[in-house]
Amino acid sequence: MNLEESKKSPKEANTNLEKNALPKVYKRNKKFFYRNKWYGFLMLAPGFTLLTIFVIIPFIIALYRSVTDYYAYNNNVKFVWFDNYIRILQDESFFKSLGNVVMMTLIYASIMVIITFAFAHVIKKLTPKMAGLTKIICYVPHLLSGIVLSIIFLFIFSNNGLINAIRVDNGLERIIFNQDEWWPYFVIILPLLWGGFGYNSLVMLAGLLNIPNDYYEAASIDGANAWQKLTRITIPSMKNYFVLIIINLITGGLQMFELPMMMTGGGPLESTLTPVLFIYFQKQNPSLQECEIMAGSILVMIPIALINIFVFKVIKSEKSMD
Amino acid sequence: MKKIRLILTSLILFAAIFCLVGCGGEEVKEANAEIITIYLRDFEDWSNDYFMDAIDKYNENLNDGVEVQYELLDDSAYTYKTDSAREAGNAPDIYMVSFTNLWQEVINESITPLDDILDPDFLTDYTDTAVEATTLYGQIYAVPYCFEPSMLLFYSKSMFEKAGITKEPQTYAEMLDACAKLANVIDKKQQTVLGTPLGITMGWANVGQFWNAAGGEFPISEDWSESLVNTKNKAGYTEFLNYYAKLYTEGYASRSDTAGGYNEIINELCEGRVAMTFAGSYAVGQIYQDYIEKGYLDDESDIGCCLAPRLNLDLGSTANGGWSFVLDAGTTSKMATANEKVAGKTHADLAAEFLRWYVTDSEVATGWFELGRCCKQTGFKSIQALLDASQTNNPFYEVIKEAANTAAPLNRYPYSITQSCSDMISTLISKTNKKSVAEVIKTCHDDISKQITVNKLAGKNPSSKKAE
Repeated sequence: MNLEESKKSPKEANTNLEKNALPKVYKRNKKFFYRNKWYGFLMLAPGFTLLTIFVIIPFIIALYRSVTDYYAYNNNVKFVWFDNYIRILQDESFFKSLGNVVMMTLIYASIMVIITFAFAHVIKKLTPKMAGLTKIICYVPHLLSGIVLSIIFLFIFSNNGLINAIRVDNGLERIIFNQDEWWPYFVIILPLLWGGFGYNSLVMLAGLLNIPNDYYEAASIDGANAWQKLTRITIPSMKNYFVLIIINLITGGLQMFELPMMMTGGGPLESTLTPVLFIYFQKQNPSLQECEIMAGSILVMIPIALINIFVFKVIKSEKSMD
Repeated sequence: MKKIRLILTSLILFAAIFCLVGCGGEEVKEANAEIITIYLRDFEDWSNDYFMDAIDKYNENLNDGVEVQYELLDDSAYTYKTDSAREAGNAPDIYMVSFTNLWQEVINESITPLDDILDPDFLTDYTDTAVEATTLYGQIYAVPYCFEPSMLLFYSKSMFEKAGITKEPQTYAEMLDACAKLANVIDKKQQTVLGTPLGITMGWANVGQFWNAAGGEFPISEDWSESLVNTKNKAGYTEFLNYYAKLYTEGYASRSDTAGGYNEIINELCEGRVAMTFAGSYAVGQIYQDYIEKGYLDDESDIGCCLAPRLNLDLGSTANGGWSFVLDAGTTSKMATANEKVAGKTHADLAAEFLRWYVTDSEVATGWFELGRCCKQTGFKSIQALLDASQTNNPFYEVIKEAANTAAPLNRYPYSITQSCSDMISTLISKTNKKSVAEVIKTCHDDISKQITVNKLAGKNPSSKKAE
């Protein structure tokens, strides 16, 4: 450093240093410099490659096929534009399935958020040993697939299952869980809650433990009560965890398949039919063409994307948008 | 010492792995054989095993220049796997399609017409049912594998005796009467009177029942231009629905599906949880293979079987389900190039030769039907004659044969129409239902009419058209 430079303020010196150090192309935005580092791309490469192969390319193909009259051996594929979409949208079963899944997801996601949030508080209060044991026990159902979950619950809720056996022994009438009143929804939502409870409780607990105790101590000194601590400290601090859980629940819920398939078969009278199950049935007993099924699949994706955008907007979390 | 122990353990492990690998054995294969591929559908275990053994037997001939390779696929994966293979240009030469879905494969141009590929004498061996089932646009598109009546009535003879039922119920009134009598003798804590198809199986299982009630008409007109539910078929459907709904509302049949669903509903009868049950003819194979062969039942003497009760006694009360082999349109035109013994032939020719052998070889074909106690019916006259002679001691054979011969012609129309019909039953048996029979019939009629318009079905029935 020469004498002239040493006379400048440290701030000016720094600016000069940066100006000299950065190539011209990066001068406008310093962040841009880091974004173009080769190792950044290298680290992105595996994920992006997989995403391209298994998501982006199939999606583009599906999108193309959904606007054509495609089938495997059609040598003269023509664009039919939105005909396939219109055909699906004219199908009452498809609309019914969308309504069913939105309703079931709303119920399931709301209950899940509330009970896991409450349970995370319980775990936080436990001794480390007990908390560890509780976490393991709660997490186990999450390891089971939807099919295994439904088999377990079929033992309980089937016609000759545990509950009906007890009822019959006590002189009561059997409940047809997959047919009667609101029970079909119950036998789908309960296994979903049981399966996801452990994982979501742990995410909630991680969020709770991330909140510095100082906040609560300061609030106590200022005379805040439990409700104020919950609404002014806990919930705002856990905003991003709520976003994560809600998006996971909504996305997973809208793609519900195994449980309705196993527990109710989409019945009675399509009241538990979900869009994915609708598409599956169409494929098994084809009433629709391949290209129409593609259009249906894309139509299922649209509400999922919209709901996710909506949730981001509602939560308005800058961090979650990153 | 430690080192020696480590070496010894490694040696033992190595020897064990070597032995296990050795157990697999090395198959002797024909050099440069032309490979014919087939996707098998997962049916009953005995049937799968038989088919795979038969293919192995076919491959034992090391001088024919052909090797058949199979892949056994679960029902839920079958369509996806076939479509994916087709997309990738690796479609199997042969795959299996149910008769009712054959028309969809033809419309999608996925399969090859077989008139020019199969020998004329082989085609003349097709039974009338087989010709009707495999002909679309005036051409033969499939080789029939088997026909299965979708609904028969199986019952416990001892329970009938206990209830004082002396005659197999054949009319609606007789059936309701039998149910009422059985309801008095069953253990209500453990048993139900009747097993029925429910949920997703309700549609296809009841096609024959609706057909019978409508005096031999389907819910959609021959040219697919109009729904007949609330017009021509209304009177018959009303009687049928009143009777059928009563089976549930009176508590004779459960409104809840059994664990195995309709496909395994015969288990309920064999294990004494119902006094009688509707089941497809395949149930006979299950009785023998899953109960008698395994020693859970001494013999079939307590199980009776008859046609399901019906409105029109001069018509059958079931539809014929069943499966066929088809040749994929994309790969079957491939010329055989790997082996000079089959030079000049196409994959379609070789696949057809294999299929002909499998479905009409007197030993192989009859062996399969006999193993399943003829719970399925053949589509070939020559095999039918052999089975008629060999099945004199099979108490179910004549009933299944009669059911297959009097069954409804194949319901070759979109499955959503069948589903709409089964929705009539589902609505009526629902605990919260407030609709009358007339109202559910009208709803079904409107639904089918809408499907005809939306799917532009009018004039599309491929069964009644000639090739263009």
